[in-house]
Parts: sequence; structure tokens; C-alpha cells
Amino acid sequence: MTNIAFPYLSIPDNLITKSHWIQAGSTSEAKTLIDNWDYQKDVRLIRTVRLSFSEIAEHLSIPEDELRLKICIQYGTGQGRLPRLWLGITSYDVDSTNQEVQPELFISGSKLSSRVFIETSVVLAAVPGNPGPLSPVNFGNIVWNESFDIKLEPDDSLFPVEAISFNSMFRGKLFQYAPWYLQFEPGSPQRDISNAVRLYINTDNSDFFESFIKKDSHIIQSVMASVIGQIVYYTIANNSFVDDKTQYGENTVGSYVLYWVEQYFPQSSIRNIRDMTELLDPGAFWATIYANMDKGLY
Amino acid sequence: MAIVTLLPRLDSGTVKALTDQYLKEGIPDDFISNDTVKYASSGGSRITDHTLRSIRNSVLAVCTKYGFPNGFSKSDRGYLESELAAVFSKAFSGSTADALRNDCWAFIATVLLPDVVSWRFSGIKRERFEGGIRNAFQRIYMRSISLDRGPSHDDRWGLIRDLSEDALVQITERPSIGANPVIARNVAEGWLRAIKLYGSNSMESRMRNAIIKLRINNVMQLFPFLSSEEQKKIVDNVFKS
Repeated sequence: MTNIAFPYLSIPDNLITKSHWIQAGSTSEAKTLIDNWDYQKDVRLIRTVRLSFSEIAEHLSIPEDELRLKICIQYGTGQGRLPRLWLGITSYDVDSTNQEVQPELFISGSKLSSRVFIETSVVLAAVPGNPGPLSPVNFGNIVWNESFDIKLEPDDSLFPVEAISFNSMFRGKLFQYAPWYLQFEPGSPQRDISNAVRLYINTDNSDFFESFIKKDSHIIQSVMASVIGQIVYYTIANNSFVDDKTQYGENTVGSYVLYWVEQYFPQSSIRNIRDMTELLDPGAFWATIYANMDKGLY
Repeated sequence: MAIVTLLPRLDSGTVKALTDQYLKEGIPDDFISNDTVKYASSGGSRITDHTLRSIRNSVLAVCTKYGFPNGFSKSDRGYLESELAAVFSKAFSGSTADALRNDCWAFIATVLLPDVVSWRFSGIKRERFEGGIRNAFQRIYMRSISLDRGPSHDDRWGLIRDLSEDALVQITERPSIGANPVIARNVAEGWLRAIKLYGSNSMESRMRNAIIKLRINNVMQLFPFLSSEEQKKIVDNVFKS
């Protein structure tokens, strides 16, 4: 179940028994990355979902003989954290005499790109005649849901990283001897972050470079804090940047900046943080970013 | 099983290098194969240069009607993009999975049709070449998926032609709306009904409010599960006030 507070009674997890999604013909849980997948390999998945119908009726405060539920499976695909395209939906009836279903998905490999997303939802399939005051009452009300996704191909790096010789690439630049350089063009929060950012690591600085590729935790913490700090700092410095998630699409610089702000500076508005960086305590801004890198929150 | 046609992929570093080169030396006026492109290593047959050139020619034929390589009138936006949607939908019908990838559209904009990108967006704006929702052609292709009325409809691409750019952005740049063709088409058809009822002056703010209300409703109600009458009723309601 996701962390959604529905404005009506919903089904607690303990009243639904479900197996993992498994690949048809297998007995083990579908992995988050299918090895050697390509477009010629179709994806067949199956699971079992069992509802404790009487207890659910009681919990939803709907008379059992009036309760009609369906289990709906939506599936989608595409790069990123959310599907680019929802491909379809199937549904299964459940009632007091048929409390267990085995949803099965067959998706042609030629339709799939990078990931498969699957959402299992239990929805109200009829308007109850005598609901309780807090019962769900609308046809299609979601009373339980769960998301699952399978990576078909490794994602491209969030931050494109390139190891190069600064003596060759940036000869004569003021930062020729820097350990790393973040190429970032501020002012375009609508751009896809993988296009707007490129991190160059200086191979001429062999000690630093070796530590970086060995993923030394202090080095990674410093680099990521600098990268994320710069992106947040310069993006929010622009007064046209707004504190509104609906304005920035999936994987854009704007959506990531708002995500990081929410994670690292809970309950602070963009304006609060802008004031912090410009006037009040700029050191606290950077220290907070560094502190969160230590928690692995990037 | 149908053979999947694999599309060329261009990484973001090469997009940057090529657009830097275009800024210095000007845009090439033809398709020049690029050695840095990659393909999926297996799973289908690579698209041929002949087919790529044929796609380029189809795009040029549409764009020439609307002024290419000379001026472009923004009032032609809907007509141009609805016709390009038809071209892309047909051209990439055997590559639907690759056509969801950013790096494939980076190739199409940066290598196959850079002169068209520069014409359509008045110069070299990097975000129009990079893969993503702002790519000059990927945005049209994504609209063609979300807003396709179906091959039997006598005005199949009319939603792309008739909706304002602001309305299209509100639909296709919101993943919770644009990624689901059932929801996207309903909102687009609702927008057309709303503009007749309420007039064009209030439509930008009305559309923004409608999208917010619909996204909240979608958390509680499984929209694709509803009947088409119920979907229409919900959409008309969110456009009120």
C-alpha cells in the first residue's frame, strides 16, 4: 500500500494476502532487472491475491452483501521513475465466494522500453446502498493499491559522468587543475536533468580519480554535495522558479530540485531557502546538503 | 512475432558536441550519418539509411508546406504538428519501444533533421535537440500516442491540431495525465467542449485548475476503470469554475 491518506476508509495490508509477481514458469520473485532482456523477449508475470472479504466489508463499513470489489492491474513502460506510457488495464471480480484471483500479465517485448511498471489496485465495483459515514461510495474508488516495477535495461546514469584529462580538455582554463567540474547551465528547470548536467572527473589528478572510481565514501559525499548543492542553489536563485511540482515534468531539473528541497529542507519553502542562501546562513545551506549526502538521500 | 525496427541512439555528450559544432559552423542541410550512434545490441533489425532518408523526406514534404526553409508562422503550429504526428506514428509503428527513448529522438533531431529543428525553433536551442519532453519531435510523437483518436476516426489527429500549445503542454508534460492515453484524450476532448462553453479567454487558468482537480481525483478513483460516460462527466466537472 502506498502512503496515501484516502479521505475514506481503505483496506489495511493485513486483510490482503498476496504473492510476489513471478515470471511465468518460474517459482522465484521477478527480479528488478531481467538479465539479457531484448525486444524479442515477452514478459509473462503472475501472482496470487487473496482478499479476506468479510473482514474487509466490516473494515470498510459496507454490508458484505452490498460490497462489490474488483482487482485491477495497470501496466506501463518507459524510462524514468514513472511510466512514459500506460499500456493497458485488466480487472478481476472478487466477492465472498471468490476471494482469490491469479492476475496474469502477458506483455509483448516489442512494446516494452527500459522498465515495466505494474500497479495492482482494489477498487469499488458498485455503489453500496447502505455505506457507513466514512465508507468509500463512488464507483471506481481505490481502496488499496501497490506498485511494482522491473528494470529491463540498466538506466542511463542520472548524472552523466565522464573521466577526462583536464590538461587536454580544459587546458588554459582557470579550473584546469580542479579535481572535478560540473558542467551545468542554470535557468532551464524544464530540461531533462540527464541533458542539463555533466560531471567531468579529472584523470590527471590520479589520487582523487582513483578514490572516486573506488567509490570512497568521503569523496563521493563531497562530489555529490557539490553537484546537488550547485544545481539547487543556482536553480532556486532564479526568481521565475516556482514551488509547484505540477510545473515541472518527470526527470526535469525542476522536478529534482523540488524533490531534493523536500527531502533535505522539510517544511521550508523555496523562498525560505533562497533567504538562507542569500542572507541568513549560507553555510547552513551547504552543511545541510552535505549532511544529507551522508544519509545517502540523493 | 513482428520484427522490431531498431532506431539509432545518440548520447547526450554527442548531442552537445554536435550542437556546439552547429553553433560554430552552421547547421548541415542534409542527413549525414554519424559514427557515434548506437543501437540496441539485439532484439530486432536496424533501420536502414534508406528508411531514415525516406522519413526525412516525408518530414520535409510537410514542413515545406508551412514555409521550410524560410519563415515559420506560429499560427500554423497545430496544422504542422498534427501532420508530423501522422508521419511519425506511421514511420515508427514498428519501433514503438525505441520511440519512447530519449536518445533515439536526440538522434532524429540532431542528426536526421537538424535543419528542420533550427527552422521550427528559430535557431539552435539545445533543449530542442536533446532527448526529452522538449525535443522538437519527441514532444510531437508523445502527443501522437496520447491524443490519437484512432485510425477509424475521420479526424484522427484533430486534437493535436485544435488544442492550444498551453493546453497540450498541460496534458503531455504531466506524466500522470499524458502517460495514460485514456485520461489524456478525455482531457483534450473536454478542453474542446469547455472552450465552446466558456470561451477562450479563461481557458489557460481553467485548464490549470482542471488538471489539478483531475490529478487529485485520480488518486482516489481509477479513471481508466470508469465507463466513457463517467469519464466524460468527471472531465466536464473539473472544467467548471
